[in-house]
Amino acid sequence: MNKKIRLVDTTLRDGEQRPGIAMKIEHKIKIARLLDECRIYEIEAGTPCVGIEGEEYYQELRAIIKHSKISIWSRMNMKDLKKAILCKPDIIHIGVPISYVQIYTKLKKNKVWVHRNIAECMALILAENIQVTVGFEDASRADEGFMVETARHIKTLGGNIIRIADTVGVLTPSRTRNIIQSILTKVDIDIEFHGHNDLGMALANSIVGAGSGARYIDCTVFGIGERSGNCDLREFATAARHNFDMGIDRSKISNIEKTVKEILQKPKK
Amino acid sequence: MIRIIDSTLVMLDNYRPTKRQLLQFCSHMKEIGITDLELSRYAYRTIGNLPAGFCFYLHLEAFEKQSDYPGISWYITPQSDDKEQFISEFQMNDVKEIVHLRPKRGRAYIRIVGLDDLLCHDYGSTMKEILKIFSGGKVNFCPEDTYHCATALAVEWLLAGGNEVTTSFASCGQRAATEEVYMAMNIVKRYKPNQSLRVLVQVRELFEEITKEKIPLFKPVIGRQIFYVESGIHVDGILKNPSNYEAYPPEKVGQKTEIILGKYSGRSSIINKCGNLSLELPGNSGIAVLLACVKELSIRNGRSISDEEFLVLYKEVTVRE
Repeated sequence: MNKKIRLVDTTLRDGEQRPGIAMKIEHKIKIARLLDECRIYEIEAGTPCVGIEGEEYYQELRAIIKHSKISIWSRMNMKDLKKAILCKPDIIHIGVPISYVQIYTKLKKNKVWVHRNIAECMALILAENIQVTVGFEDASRADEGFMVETARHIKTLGGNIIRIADTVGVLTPSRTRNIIQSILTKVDIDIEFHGHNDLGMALANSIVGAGSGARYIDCTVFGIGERSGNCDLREFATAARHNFDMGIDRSKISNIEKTVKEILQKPKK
Repeated sequence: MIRIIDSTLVMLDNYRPTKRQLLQFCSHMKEIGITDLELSRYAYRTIGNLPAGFCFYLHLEAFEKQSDYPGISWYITPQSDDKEQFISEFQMNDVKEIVHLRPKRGRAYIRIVGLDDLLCHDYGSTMKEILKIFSGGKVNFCPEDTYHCATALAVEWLLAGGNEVTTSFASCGQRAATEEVYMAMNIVKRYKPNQSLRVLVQVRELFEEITKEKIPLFKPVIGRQIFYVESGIHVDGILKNPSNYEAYPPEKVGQKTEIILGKYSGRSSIINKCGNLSLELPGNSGIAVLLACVKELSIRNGRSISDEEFLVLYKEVTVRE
């Protein structure tokens, strides 16, 4: 029997972040409905803190989505998370910079600050009975020891899923496998893998990620996303079909692609 | 030593590239340090006198003689016996077919083509087995790209101890992309670390001129818009330190970071754009209003907004201030 994995579609969040894409709410709702019909496990629907789509968008999503879980992405700060909580999603992903270059250069903070903030943010979300996923941003350039330590910290705080994000897209399949197995052998936690295609290996890394123990794989329709994009939903579903049970109806992917293509190609003013 | 054999000039016959275009391609490849090039018969004949400083490879049919193609360093033939200057090529369509390689143990130089879904299997052990079978000789791996994993397979082969791969520019002909394999090895193994790849922009243009087709805007390494950035979080991070969100400097491949204004822009993008256009920075509330206007216009139009559109918004907002 094939190993079960769950697909997370992030077309409406990371996919839409490709420069030049700007979808209207009705477009996002239309795509979400189709992803739900395809039985995608989780739809990452947006980022409330950027102040584009309000609570009414998430309310509408909740009304039409029958099978998928709705998740939203948030930075690791209380103000953004409070906005996210008001949207009442099933899951909130907290983006946590995990590499030293991101912690010390971008945030200008330190490791202790990161762990303290994770604790505060998770407590806020879990108190609302919302599931939480902690995303390790820039995991590909991070110290493995610190990732293991942080995964343990998250587990003790009541978290069950971490997202390994190859934020700048520099992982190879063997490095992907090493990172995932290194964490899984030390911490009893579920792993979600989020690949980027900067070196043309997002799909390969996602396949090897799933084979190495990641239970959740992130994809976008047509692989749209920042820079060279993310793991392509159709390509992953096709390549992984013999090895994994993804619980989706692959026959619906064509229709999703047709709709997304129409939306992205609408005549621009 | 890593050897990347670029086979682009085998894939372009249908477009009938001219002698100038073929020689230009060779010259560009030399500039990035790739001097192993595989030619088609058409390319061989069109070029005429082969340029110096390259190692050329050519497929030889059973009825053809080596002497028909002087200047070629290596002749590739399907499953031939060991002969000087010859590479035996084996098409492997399934990982199970590896067993057929065992009787070929001891061959001096072989090429394995195919194995497109190898990554869905225990690719590490398979690669080790192949390397063990041909431990005394040379093995060139030419993964096919049916499952869009050829680049990853070529890179894994080189990381596993293999020395040679066959690739093609922009994955033409369903092979690993030369530029992706090169850049991956550059980042992961410091392959030719100081080599500038700026000429890739010219290779892209030459390729488009020959094929009359545009390379996708977001194609890894060579796409025109891979260094466009819009999301506020990313713009802020890049302005602090480009390495926060860029795996390598865009200039390395002849490109540059472009900050785009749109639905996902943040304050940093507005501040940066005002600076770039030499506009006086509005106050905090002005920036917030301007940002909201940028997002609204972007959503209304379904795209990012131009500098001209930004200037109109800027005037409207600053007049109100």
